[in-house]
Amino acid sequence: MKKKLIQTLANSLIMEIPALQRRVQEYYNDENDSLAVFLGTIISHLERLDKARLKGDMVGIYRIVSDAPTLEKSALGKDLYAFNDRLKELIRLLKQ
Amino acid sequence: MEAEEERRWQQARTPAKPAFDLARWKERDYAESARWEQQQAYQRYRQGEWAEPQPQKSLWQKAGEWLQQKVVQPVQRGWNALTHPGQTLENALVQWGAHSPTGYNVIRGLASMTASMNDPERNPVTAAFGQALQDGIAGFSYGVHSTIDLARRTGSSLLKGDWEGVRRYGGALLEGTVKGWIWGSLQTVGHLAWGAIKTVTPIGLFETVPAWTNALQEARAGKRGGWDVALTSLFLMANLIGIAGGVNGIKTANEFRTFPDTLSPAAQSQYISLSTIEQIKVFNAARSIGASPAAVEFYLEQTARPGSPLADLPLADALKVSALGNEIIPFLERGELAPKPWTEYVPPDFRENVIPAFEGEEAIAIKLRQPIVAYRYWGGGSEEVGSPWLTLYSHLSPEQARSLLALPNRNLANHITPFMIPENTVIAIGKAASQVTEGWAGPYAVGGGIQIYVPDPSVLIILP
Repeated sequence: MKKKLIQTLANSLIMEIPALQRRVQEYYNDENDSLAVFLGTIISHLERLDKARLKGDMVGIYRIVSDAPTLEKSALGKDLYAFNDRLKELIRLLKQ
Repeated sequence: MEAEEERRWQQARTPAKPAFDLARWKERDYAESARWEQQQAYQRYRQGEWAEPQPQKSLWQKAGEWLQQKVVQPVQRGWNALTHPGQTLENALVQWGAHSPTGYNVIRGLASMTASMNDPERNPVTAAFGQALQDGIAGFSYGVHSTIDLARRTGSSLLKGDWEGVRRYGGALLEGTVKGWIWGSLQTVGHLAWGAIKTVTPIGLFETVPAWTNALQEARAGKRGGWDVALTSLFLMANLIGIAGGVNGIKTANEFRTFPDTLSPAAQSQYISLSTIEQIKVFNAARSIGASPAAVEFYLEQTARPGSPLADLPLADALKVSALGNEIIPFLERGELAPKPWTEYVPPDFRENVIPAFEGEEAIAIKLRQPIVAYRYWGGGSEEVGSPWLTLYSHLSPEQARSLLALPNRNLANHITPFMIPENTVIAIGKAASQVTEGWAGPYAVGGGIQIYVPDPSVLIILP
């Protein structure tokens, strides 16, 4: 049951990432924006359900977004935080 | 008594006759004994005649009786309840259970199981343990009673000028004190020490393991009750825990002994100048929070100076602060440790994100009494205003800032802006955690520099 829940949550996060990447590229008007690239690396951590790497990713999203308050206050920033909250939930499930 | 002794002495001197009539001898012996007892009874009777009539009870006697009735007897009853717990519990439970016929049988069963603790046939270990305890207490109370009695008699003889009595009772008192109390205490201490040694070393296993296996075997054979197994298991467990504690104790003692070796010579001499209790406190605090030798050195160096703000902090907090080094001192001079743990000042939604950003997930919360200036390194994808991340350092190159503060890769740190943090603001200060393996940072992000997290960045005032 828990395993299924973890997999479902991980899959939905993987599905969300391309849209977030695209929005970040649009926000910064940069195809190679480092945040978009970083979001792309999270996919492989989600696929492997790598708890330690996902924890690092969770810290990174907050460090990056909180370092750019304009982004933080934008709709994209709020969606990135929402993504981060679900990532936290997944990490909690993986820890149990 | 003397007549009896005389009789026996005379008898001993009388040479044995070869043709011995046992029946006649016995008859004579019984007759003599009867006559002696008759004489004794007569003397007791005459003493009764000579005795003065019993005076009316004094106030002291009445008080004594009252004490006996109101204090001693209830205490005795309580003592009996304690020394016969099974019986007491059984009586109490049965009385209570009598109100409910349904519960009666359950309670009765429980009570009889508990009462089996006192059944010497089924529980020789528990019975022997209880008996030893009772004997010990009885022996002790006898010792106290007889010592008081001898002291009273010696004092009384002394007051009367009865030197024979002083010699007799005083001698007995001295002998009893030396033999009974001093020697007995030494023996007891020796036994306790030996018991303690056995408990914390594998020597005890030579006793506890066979006792446990025997109890188990005899319980299976129905010769012993479950309480015996429980008790011997308890002793075995205590022995094993004791051995683990002993090993740990030796390890800790060894660590304590070598602790000064980890410090610099200057810090060593400062440490040695502390009292042993202070040394133990510093060692324990450093051990419990995992303080580095550098932190301990900084603490010792700072607290040796008069008026050091570290001296006013609890030891563990002072060591945590010391781990941050010299840079933290201006903050302590302008503020104080906040009352709650630092994590409670971080907004709950971001705690899981912020805590791992500090080295060892550790920081300290300081409430500023005076405003203080801090600095923000920014540029590239990071912004100047509104971020909670600052530092103490004012003169870092972009590379140094990115490395020491483990900044995100998109923060180029090619700008620096001073901010004033107003008074009454609570900030979290700690070392930046390494992010060398993270995709959002990289091998440059070594960390270890002092970073400041301002939970509410809207309070920050940008300085020109």
